[in-house]
Amino acid sequence: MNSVIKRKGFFGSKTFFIIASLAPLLFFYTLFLVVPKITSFYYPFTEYDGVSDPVWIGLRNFATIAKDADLWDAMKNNFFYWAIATPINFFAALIVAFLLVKKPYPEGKFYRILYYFPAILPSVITALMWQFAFHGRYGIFNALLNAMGVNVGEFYWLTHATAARWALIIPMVWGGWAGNMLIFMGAIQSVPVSLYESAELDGASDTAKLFLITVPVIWETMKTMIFFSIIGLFGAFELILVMTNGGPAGATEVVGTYMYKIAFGTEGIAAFGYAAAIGLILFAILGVISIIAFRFMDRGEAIEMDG
Amino acid sequence: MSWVKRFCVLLVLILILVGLLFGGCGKKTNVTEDSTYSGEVYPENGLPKDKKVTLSAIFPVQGFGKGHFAYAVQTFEKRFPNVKINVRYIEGGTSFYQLMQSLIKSGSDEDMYDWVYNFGANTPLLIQQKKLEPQNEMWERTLYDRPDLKVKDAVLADELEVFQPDGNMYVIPQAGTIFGVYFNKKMFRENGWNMQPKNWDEYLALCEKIKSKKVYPLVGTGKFPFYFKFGWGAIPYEVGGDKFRKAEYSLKHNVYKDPAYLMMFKRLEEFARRGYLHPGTVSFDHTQSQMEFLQGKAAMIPVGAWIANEMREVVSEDFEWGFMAFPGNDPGQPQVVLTSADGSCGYIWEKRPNLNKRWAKEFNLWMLNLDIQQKMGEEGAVPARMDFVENKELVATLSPSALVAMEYINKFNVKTLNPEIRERTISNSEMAKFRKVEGDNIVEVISLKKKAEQAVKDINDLYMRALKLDEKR
Amino acid sequence: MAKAASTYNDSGMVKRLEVGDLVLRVLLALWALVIILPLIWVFYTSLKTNQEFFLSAWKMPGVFQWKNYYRAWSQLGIGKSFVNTIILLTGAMLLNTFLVALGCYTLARFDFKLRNIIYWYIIGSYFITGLNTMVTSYILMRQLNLLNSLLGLIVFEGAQPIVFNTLILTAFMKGQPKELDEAAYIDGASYWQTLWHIGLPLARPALLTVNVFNFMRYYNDFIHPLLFIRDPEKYPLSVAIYSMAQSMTYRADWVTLFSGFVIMMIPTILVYSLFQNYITQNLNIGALKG
Repeated sequence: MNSVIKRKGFFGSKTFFIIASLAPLLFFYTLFLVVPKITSFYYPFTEYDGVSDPVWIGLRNFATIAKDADLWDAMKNNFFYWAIATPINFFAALIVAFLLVKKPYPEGKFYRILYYFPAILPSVITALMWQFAFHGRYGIFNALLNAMGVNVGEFYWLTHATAARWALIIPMVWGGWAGNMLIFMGAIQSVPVSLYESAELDGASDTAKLFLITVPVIWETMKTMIFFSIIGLFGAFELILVMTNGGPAGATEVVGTYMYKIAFGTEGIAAFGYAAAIGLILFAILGVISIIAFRFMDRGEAIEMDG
Repeated sequence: MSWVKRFCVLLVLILILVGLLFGGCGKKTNVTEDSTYSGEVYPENGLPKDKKVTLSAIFPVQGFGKGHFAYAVQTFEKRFPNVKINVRYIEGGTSFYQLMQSLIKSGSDEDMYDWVYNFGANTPLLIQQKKLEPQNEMWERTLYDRPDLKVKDAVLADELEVFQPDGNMYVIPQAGTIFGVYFNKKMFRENGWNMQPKNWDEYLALCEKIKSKKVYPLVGTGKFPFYFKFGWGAIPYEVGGDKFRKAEYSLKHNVYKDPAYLMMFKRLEEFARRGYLHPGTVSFDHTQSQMEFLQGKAAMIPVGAWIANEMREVVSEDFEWGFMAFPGNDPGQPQVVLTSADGSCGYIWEKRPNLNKRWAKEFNLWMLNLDIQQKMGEEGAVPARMDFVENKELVATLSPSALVAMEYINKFNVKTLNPEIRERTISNSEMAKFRKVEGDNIVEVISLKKKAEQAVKDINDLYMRALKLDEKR
Repeated sequence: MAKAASTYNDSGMVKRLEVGDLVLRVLLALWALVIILPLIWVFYTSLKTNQEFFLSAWKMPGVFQWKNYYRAWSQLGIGKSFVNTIILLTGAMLLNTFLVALGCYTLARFDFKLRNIIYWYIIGSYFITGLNTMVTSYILMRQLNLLNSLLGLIVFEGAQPIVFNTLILTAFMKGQPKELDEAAYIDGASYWQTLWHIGLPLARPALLTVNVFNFMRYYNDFIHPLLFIRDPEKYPLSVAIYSMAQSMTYRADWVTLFSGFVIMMIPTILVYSLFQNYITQNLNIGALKG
């Protein structure tokens, strides 16, 4: 369909529009996000402590990585948290967003604001709060367990490897899905009511049918959120660092905290190059995973816009 | 095909952009050299009175606060009106190091500060790289407020700490800190507990008495396991003496297989097995361990002399701090108190204008003035000037935790040493893991998950890997 | 067009409630409790003295220490840094919204030869950890002469969330029906007009959501101002709160820190509440037509 009136010449053309709308975005992106990352591609192949000049060592960092048992143990923890916390965060966010947007509970309006609060609370406070909650003597976690009849005595959850590992899931879930919820709320809100109403004419009025209309429409958003969940594999970092510092003895160490300690030498000398090499490996892993995920999820091309 | 062409265009554009940006990379400015000084000079240091100088300083605020520093700047500017010091106060920690790294890496000497507090663990590396200015001549200078006293005779530090292996001095020792075991004196007195166990056996006996009163003898900051070394780290030097110290200093092979080092782990193990360690220790940070200490659930806490300053808002008015050197020694062996030159600051970047560098050095000397030393002491540091320590009135103004530590050292003639110094600093990806691995092993031994012998073996293996890697260079 | 009896009210919500809803409401209420209780703890802890806090983590304060807030306020040095924060946030949010709104519209609506390449080009950098970019960013900012200025910081920050926002916005926009755009073309509107009058308004919930995240990010980011700005008078608030948090590791003045955090959270809560209300009120514009 070619209407002539307002789209004369090159400046009205589709090509110009595409270039002009993407150019600013791509320019800023390339300059401030790509360039710093590209120039840091050099580091994984060096021995660099942050202040001396980097020394080129070729692939030696990667050989060290292959033998680094601590790193692989950390990765196991990443998979652990990812497999457990991520689906919970995803589905909790989806379901609650759905309820808050579609159900006319009077308290819903209040919840929309309240439920986001865990994301607003600074991580220092959240970490401290949960550390106190898991305290052996005065922690509320033990108090609850004791009240329910499970006698745990003065058990310090964060002092024992397995207990600490599992215990951290609770704060992760507590604070983890507020952001997801926000995005889902926005997406669900944008689904036109008319779609529901026309489905109704077909005799459907179940909550289930409600759900079946929503999901296809927000499928793109869901796909993106699934994508974020997937590449969030190595994302767990700040909460763990502040709460247990990877302890006890590396039981809750994840790749993020491990890299941080090595990169900034919080525990002595830094090995920037080595940390960067680990980063490169993560990049490779995530790249492979996302390509597989996208192939799996893709349901067709974007709808053609005529011009 | 046109999309290939378009893709190539995009790629070329990006590469051009990158190229443009990095064409200007590596630009270094030259630093102006100064000629001899004519005109009026200050008699004490021979620097010109008429040349206006502005120094830029960066001061990370850490355990010892910034009050003393601000005071030092103020009095210095008053004495030398042509000199102004612009101080950037920043919080200490990772962000500070990231900032310094960025500055160093960007190669911009003109962005670097004239006076830098320190470069953290990177300081020895920079020294090795000759990026810092030697301040040797200050060692022989006389103090500003005691023209009869030379710096080298005035300060507490020993030559090993002050002069680097290359024969130069890169900072004037102004203050330090002391590590050991602190306790609630009143609690000890009321229970009749031994405040000065002289060796390991006496210490165990003390702990048994404490435990019988349903109090945990020791609590610590387990989240950062290197805190354990503030107390327990004395053991290898008590048991192994100078021999071990020298071996560690000169990076001898397999130094961590030494029985003295193993002893530290064995004693940790024994301590934990007897149930003397607060069960929450491993996961506690400072705040939580201090809370246990304050609530009377634990009797002792291994920490540094800054503790009274850190907890001043929290302890009651009549709280009395007690101090003991960590009694990890066997009878007959000397007790050791670990120190560190942490309060010494004022490193100078080599590539800065000459006059700025000279004034920065003068400022470092200025900080040895007694009134400034006193302010440092109030904020928890241990002043370096010996005549400060000998002056009873001044000593009384020290922070209580520093005071009791110094009294203990003087009274019992305990050896002090700084365990961090090495002949040469190794930096590679294996060495970067050392502290973490050491800490993790300490935790595992305390948790009785690992035998002391195995822990020491693992640590030594890492150490040897780091050495071998370093030798390959 | 006659409106048949719809099960949906004007806000797009279901009109009828069922029994199952009761269970859901109870669960939601429980979760609300799980959030409220910690918040109450934070608040009453900020009103204790440090001694009280160290003697018991959970106990209520004896006398409410409102002066903690006064102390926190003066320590945070709110005043000039507040203005800096407003300038920084406004500038960065505007810049970023401009960049992504424009670009994502095109990425979502048009299919052209380079589209997937560009899309993956943008996503690609997301995988690379930002570890080493501190140093390289500093060098870049230096060469662009953007150091030590709020303007430079705005430009830098405006670019930071591009990847995340692009992904979200593109996904949103792809889900929007195209009929309205097509109708506009038939009426002879140019691409620009369609974007302005139809594309952007439709994407309003998405843009607002994206800006809530931007706000949170910029408001709390302290590392970039610290790295790029030298003069303390140009610092935004985030640096002050970070400094305060850091100093807690050697000063044990937790109650003031908690008060400081409460103060810092208020703007975020306000902004977020406003955003939420606005989104709720401006729904379903597209649904009103045909």
